This record gives sequence, structure tokens and C-alpha cells, in this order.
Amino acid sequence: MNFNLSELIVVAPLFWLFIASIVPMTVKAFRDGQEMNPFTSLMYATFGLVGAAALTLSAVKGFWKISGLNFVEAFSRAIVIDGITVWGSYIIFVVVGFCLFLLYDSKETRDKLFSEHIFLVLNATIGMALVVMSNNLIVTFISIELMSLSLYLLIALNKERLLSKEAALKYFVLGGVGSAILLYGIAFIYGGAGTTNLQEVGELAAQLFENNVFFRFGTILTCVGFAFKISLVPFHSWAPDVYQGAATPVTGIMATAVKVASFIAFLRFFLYADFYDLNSDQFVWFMQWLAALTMIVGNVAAIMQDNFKRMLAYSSVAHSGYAFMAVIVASFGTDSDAGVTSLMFYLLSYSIMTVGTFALVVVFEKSADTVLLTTDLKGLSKRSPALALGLSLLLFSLAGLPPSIGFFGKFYVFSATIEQGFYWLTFVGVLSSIISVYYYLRPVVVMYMMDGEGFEVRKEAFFSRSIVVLSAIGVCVLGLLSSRIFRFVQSSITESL
Amino acid sequence: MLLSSLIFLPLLFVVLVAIAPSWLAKPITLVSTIMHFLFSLMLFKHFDPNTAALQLVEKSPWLKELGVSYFIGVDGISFWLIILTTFLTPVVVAASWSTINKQVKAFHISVLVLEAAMIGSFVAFDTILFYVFFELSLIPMYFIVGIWGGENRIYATMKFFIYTMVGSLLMLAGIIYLIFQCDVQLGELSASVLDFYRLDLTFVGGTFMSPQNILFFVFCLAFAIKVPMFPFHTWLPDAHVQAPTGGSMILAGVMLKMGTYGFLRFVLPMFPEAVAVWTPLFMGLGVVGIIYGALVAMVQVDMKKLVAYSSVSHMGYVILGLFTMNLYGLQGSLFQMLAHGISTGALFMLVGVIYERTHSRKIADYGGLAKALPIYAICFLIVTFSSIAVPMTNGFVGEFLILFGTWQAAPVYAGFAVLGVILGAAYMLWMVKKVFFGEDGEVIKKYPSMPDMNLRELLTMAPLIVLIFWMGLFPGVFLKYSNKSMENLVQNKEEYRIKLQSFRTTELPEIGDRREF
Repeated sequence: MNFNLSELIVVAPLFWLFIASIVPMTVKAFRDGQEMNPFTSLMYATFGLVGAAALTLSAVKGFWKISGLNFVEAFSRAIVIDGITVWGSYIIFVVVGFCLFLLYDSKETRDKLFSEHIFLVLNATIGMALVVMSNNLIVTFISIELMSLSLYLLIALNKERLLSKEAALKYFVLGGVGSAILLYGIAFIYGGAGTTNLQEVGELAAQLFENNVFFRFGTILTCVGFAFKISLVPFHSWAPDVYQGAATPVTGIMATAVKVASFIAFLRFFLYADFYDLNSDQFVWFMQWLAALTMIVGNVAAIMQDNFKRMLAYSSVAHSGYAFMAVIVASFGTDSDAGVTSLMFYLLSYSIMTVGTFALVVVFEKSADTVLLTTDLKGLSKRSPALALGLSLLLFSLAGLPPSIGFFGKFYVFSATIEQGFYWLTFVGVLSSIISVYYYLRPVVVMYMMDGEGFEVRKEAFFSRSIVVLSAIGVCVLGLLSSRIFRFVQSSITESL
Repeated sequence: MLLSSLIFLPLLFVVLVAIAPSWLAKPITLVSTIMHFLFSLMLFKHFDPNTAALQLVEKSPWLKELGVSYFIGVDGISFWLIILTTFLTPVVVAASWSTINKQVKAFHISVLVLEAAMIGSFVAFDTILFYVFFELSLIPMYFIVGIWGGENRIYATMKFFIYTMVGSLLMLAGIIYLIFQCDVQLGELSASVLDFYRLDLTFVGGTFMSPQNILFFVFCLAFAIKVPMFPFHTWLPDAHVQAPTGGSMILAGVMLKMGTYGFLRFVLPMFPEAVAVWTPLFMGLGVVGIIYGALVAMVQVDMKKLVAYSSVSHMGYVILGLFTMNLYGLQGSLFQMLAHGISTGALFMLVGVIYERTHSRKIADYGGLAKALPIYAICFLIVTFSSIAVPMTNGFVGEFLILFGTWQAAPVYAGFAVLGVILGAAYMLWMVKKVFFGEDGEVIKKYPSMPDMNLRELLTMAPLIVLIFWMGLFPGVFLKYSNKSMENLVQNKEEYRIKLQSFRTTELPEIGDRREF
């Protein structure tokens, strides 16, 4: 164990985030429990995120320049900062930033315990930022727990609402089971490989997987544990209830930033492993079935939802399936760069679209008990054309229609899978995205083609409305620029591997 | 830059319409689409009909990492379809002048976006670019049917959208496969359709699972749904009946042609062995479509539905002609596409004209209309003649060429297809008789002083009628432009290539040279 003080600079963004997160709470403590002005708290938190993003970039640039390599390792190789880390943490920071504004806009969170919300969200962000830079299974586990614990509390924070309590309990129990399985798997992997460092595990993985029954067991258990976290079918059953029960901005964080972080953790687990020359392809089949089932079940279940938030929850499950196809390519394909790049691009596109749609839900939530049904969007095209157009663009993008970014996300994932010869998986992906067209278009039908009066647009939810419009513009503009973005992601990732 | 400006000018007009006050939306769109049409006539100046080469090429890389580029051009196959699109759009705008009264701006924006997407898909020579435009054209049509349509519009528009998506998403997967095949066989990722032509796709007779066979069916499905070919036609009557007049006109006039164009551009040249093997199936489905469409049209009580089923029947001819793979059949198909675009567009417009006055489309409600609306009756009769292929009208030329080609390729199919001509005459004339002659129908009693066609409607109708006769009397003028390209396709069906013609160069580089433009 050699410890170098300069290594602290690598994790400086996390310290910075933590300091920013405690400010509103501390002030509250010194004021006898009187809240700070919510807007000031919000500004502190945003400042924290911007600072963390800037620190990440400068630390990375500095270290990369000094070492001449495109990655830094710290704390005995437990932490690595490479292209994936930078992209992952940037997506997370941006998305969490958007969600902070949603927290401010949502009545449910702003009026009650706002500083606690800020504290927990930023601490969850620390967890996520740590997940994406972790290079060691133990660090991964601890950071996932940090993230999850903050989330359990965030969901339970609304004490009066029954659904929120139910959701918190469900998430706590099932999340706990998932974490336990994950830890159990890590223990077996350690038993088989003698190390928890991902790179070292990866070098031995294929050989151990064939020869060592404990290692095989551990790998499968770890996969299952991660599958809980990214809500792959059949480990998805918590997702819809939890997404529905949590306050909408919190759901936004869970559906985007948390998912991005968990996906990257899963990716890292496979990235260094040379599973592509396994002799048995049972493992590949297992993974492919997970992806295929996720896409089918997620999309089919989403068709039956009338509740807009639940529909988004199932759609988010389905999107996990698409992104997981990219993970499969990265782990079992010969060209892992294609998988990694398309995964990062997909996560980017998915996060933008999803944040926008959750922001729309916040626009309509008058109180904590508001349930937004799809039919409540009636006549929105007349009352608020900008919002209606924005939501339509987001939904078209989620459905994967060109030339939005959602289309290119799917296009890159499908091209990665076809290139690596996963034909039937691609076929399932294509078919299930046809199913998805049906439910993504239904809100558009309701908004534009049905007459009647739906919910009022909350005038005071200025930030949420701007986020809907902003992300809709982003979806189109980034879609047209997707080639540049993809190449940028590609160069920053491939050069660091 | 001519073709690019053809695609993107409508999008510029969209901005104009969006910022203008809504009472100006109609005039602005009409004037700008007419100007766009006149602008598109510049193609005649720059297009050289004496070569099969790809002309007015523009190419620049787009998604470099997958070999996708912004690659557009025009050849004999797409030339007339582009003109047809730019010609029909102002007609559509004029025809929907009085029917579209709510959300006027949004309607005209949709029409303009649709025009851009349709032109884009006709000029795209990069498959992914084609796919993007092909899909993009769905969205405005979805809104046109869904917002301004009839009673059952939501069902119709969803059905239309999802049907088309099924085919095109599978095609996307096929395209991606072919892109990587380019890497394997030609050593470079490419999505250009010219490179796809050069691929040698394995075809094993007797088994379904050979790559060429699967790709053939994947592409066919996408286009067969769009055309629509016989078993996949069920979305069409719904969409047509529910769509507003303008929507039906675009749908029948241009959007269906995107399907047959897809056959001509992608399926026939790319999969020669599979085409040879499956020709009987497709010709058979074409004939079934002709007869089935005609028979179903016969029993319709709704005028619009009758016209919709007649579309199914006419598109059956196009499919039949395409799969003959001889010059007469292919030329006839292309001519039939144009003729059908004009005559069915005109029919839908005429049905819309009368519906506006009486709010009824039931054939049984009418009778004796010829006395009340003489000018309307004359127009309707002329268009009907075109639709049932009376000589001297454009419908005749197309169907005659197709039947001629089919007779050469497979006489049996020609024998059955001729039945369709007779049936077509039967149902159309039956409708004309019921609607225009005989006892006065209910609607005449209800609206005794119906106005005849007004000046706007006549002016909208006039170019269509002029074209019906012009194309019927001088088909050579029109066929001349596509002749070379079709000859090239027929003569080289095994090894199809298109050469590139860059500006003002006499020496034609082979596409294999990979010259940068």
C-alpha cells in the first residue's frame, strides 16, 4: 500500500460535492431548524455540481498531461479515471443538475425538507461518481451502497404519502436483496481469483470461468446483483412501483443518473474480461435472454399503462434492455470498443430524453397526490403548444424515429450487435421497438387529436417547462450532430483502453 | 446544390409559415410551393436523359464511423418522381384551401415537412439517409390523418404508422447488415446503395435461410407495406377514408410511390438471384392485388373507400410490371406510378369537392348529379376515363405497357391482369352511373342549389386534367427521361451498376474508383 497525497486530487470532485451538500443542512441546524431559502440552497447545490464537473475535467487533463497516458489510477488501482469515467460522470452531473431544478419546482419536495433533499441527492451523486471511477469490486459495492442508501431515504422522505412509504420499503428490501447477492458473488469471485481488482480478475476470467465452479457461480451471482440494479427482467419488478411512489424528480434521478452509474459498473465488470473466447456459450445465451426478455416485457407491459409515470417506468425498463445489448457486445464481442461507445452514446441519448419526460410530469403535479394519466394531457397542444411539441419530440425520440438522437442511439447499438453477429437479439430489439411505437405515440394522440380539457399547466413550474423544451431541442440538435458526438465519445474512450 | 436546395427549401418555408400570422399560412404555402415547383423545373435544364448515369451528385461524409454519407443524386428512375412530388404539393395545398379550418399553420407545416421528406427519399442514394427520410415522412402524415381526419382518425393513423414502422425497422436491420458486408467484401464500410449493388450476397437455392433470401424479404416487406401489396394493404382503406382530402391526395399521389420506388431502386438490383426465384410469387400477388382490389371496390358504398381500393388494384399493376424485369414492364410501371399519382389524386380531390358541399360520401345518396353540377361531372368523367385506362389518357399508356411487358415475360399473368382492366371499368362506370345519372338522389333534394365547381377548384383541377391528356397523347416525352436508366437495369440485372456523372465531365468514373466529390 503506497499512498500518495496527489491521489487525493483525483477524488477532489467528490469532496467538493460533499462540502456543497452539507451547506444547506448546516445552515438549517444553526437556525433552529428553519429552512434556507430554497433558491439559495438550489444555487449551492448547482454550484457544487458545476465545481465538481470542472474539477473532474481539470484533474483529468492535468494527470493525463503529466503521465502522457489517457487514464489515471489511484489508491492502489482501486480507482481509475479514463474516458468512460469522464463521460459517465458528465452525464450524471448534467442529469442530476436538471433534476435539482425539478426538485425545486416540485411542490412535494420544495416545501418539505428541501435541504435534506439536496443533501441526499448530492450524496447519491457522490456515490454515482465513485461507481463510474471504481476499478475494484469492493469499491464498486461500497459506492453502490452509498448511492442506494441515499435513495432509500430520498424515497421515504415524504412521510405523509402512503405510496412513497410503500415504494421506499419495496426498494429497500429488494435493493437489499440485490446488494446481498452482489456481495455474495463478489466474495466467490475473490475466492476464485484471489483479487478484487477488476483488471486482474478480467485477465483470469475466461480461464477461471471454465475451470473454477466457484468463480462461475460468483460471476453469475454478480451479474444477477447488477441486473437488480439496472432493472433487467426478471429482476425488474420493483421498478414500476418505486418509480411511481417516489417524488417525480427523485424518479427522474433514479431512471437516469442511477441507471447510468449502474450500467457503467456492470460494463466495467465485463470490460477487461476476455469472455469472448469462452468455449461454452451458455453464459452468452443467459445474457442475451436477459436482454431479450427485458425488451419484450418492458415494452409489452408499458402498453397497458394508463398512468404516465408508470408508462415511463416500464419504458425505462425496456431501454435497459437496449443498453444491455451494448453491454453484451462489449463483453462478448471481439470488438469491445464498438459496444462501449454505443453504450455510452445510448446512455447519453436516453438520459436526455428521459429527464425531459419526467420534467413534463413535474409541470402538471399540483400536489404530492396528483396522478397524471395519459388522458390528462388532453388538449395540451392548444393550451401550451411549446410543451406539446416538446413532449412529442421527446416521445418520437424515445420511440427511435429519425432524425432524433434516440434513433441514432438505437442505430449504433443495433449496428454493434449486427457487426458482432448477435442477429436474433437484434431481431428481438427491432420487434420490441415497434411495440414501443404504440405507447409512445399515445400521448401524442391524446395531446393533438383528442378534444377536451386535461390538467392545467402549472405556471410557477418555470424550470420544469424550460427543461422540457431544452431537452426537446437537445434531442433534435444532438441528433443531427450525432456523428460528431459519437466520434468524440469513441476517441475519448478507445484511446484510454 | 440543386437537389439539396430542393430538399431544404420546403423547410425554409416552414420557418416562414411558422412566424407568419395564421391567416397568411395558406397563401404563403401556396405561393412558396408553386415557386418550389417552378424551381424544380430547373432539373430539366441540368438533367441529361441520354445516360443512365447518376447526375447532379452531392456527396459528403455524415456518420463516418459507419460509412454513412450525405449522398444524393438523380437518375432516370427518380427524375419524374421528384417532379411529381413538387407538382402535387401546390395542388394539394390549393385543394385543401377550404377544408382545413382548424390549426391551419400546423397543417401547412406538416405538408411542407412531408414534401421535404418525400423529395429526400427520392434523391437519397445513401441507404441510411433514405431510411431517415422514409421514416421522417411518416410523422407529418401521422399528424395530417390524426388531427384533420374523420371520425375514426386515431385508429387509422395509428394503424398506418405502426404498419409502416414494422417493415421499415426490419429494413434498417438489413441495411446495417449490408453496411458490414461492405466492410467484409469491399474493404470499406459504406452505406451507399451503389456499393450495395456491388456486393455478392450468398444465395442458396432451396433453402430459405440464405442471406440474400432473408434480406430480399426484409426489404420487400418494408416496401410491400408501403405500396401496399395485396396481403399488407389493410391499412390503406382506413387511412384514406379517414384522411382529409389533401392527406389522401399526398398519400395516394406520392407516398405509395415511395414503396414502388423502393422496389425499383433497392430490391430489384440488389438481390438478382432472389428476384429471379421469387418473381412468380410477386407477380402472383400483384395479380391477386389487381383483381382483389377491383372486386372489393365493386361492393363499396363509400366513394372514398372505392377510390382507395382502386388504388390497391392499380398498385398491383405496378408490382406486376416491376417483376417482369423487361423494358416494357419497368417503363410501364414507372409511367403507371405517375399516372396513378395524378388520376387518383384528382379523384380524391373530386370526392372531397362534393363532400364539402353535401357532407356525404355514400354512393346511394347521390343520383342525377350531372344535371345539377355539369362542370363537375365533366371533370369527374375525364378523371374516371384516366383511371379505367381509356386510350388517349395517361392510365392507358401505363397499363398497356405493363400488360405488354407481362405478356412477354409470363402470358398467364397477363391473361388474369386483363381481367382487372375490365373490372376496373365496371366499378368506376357503375359509380359514375349511380352518382351522375338516373333519378335525383337524396342530396340533390336536400341541397337543390348546390354551387358548381368554383374558380379555385377549377384552377386546381386544370393542371391535373391537362396532364392526363398530355401524358396520354405524348407518352414518349415522359418515357424518354427514364428510358436509359431502365435499359441499364434490364440489361444488367445480374450485375447492376450505376455510373456517376460529375458536373461537366465527359469521362465517367466507375464507382469503384472511389473518387471523392
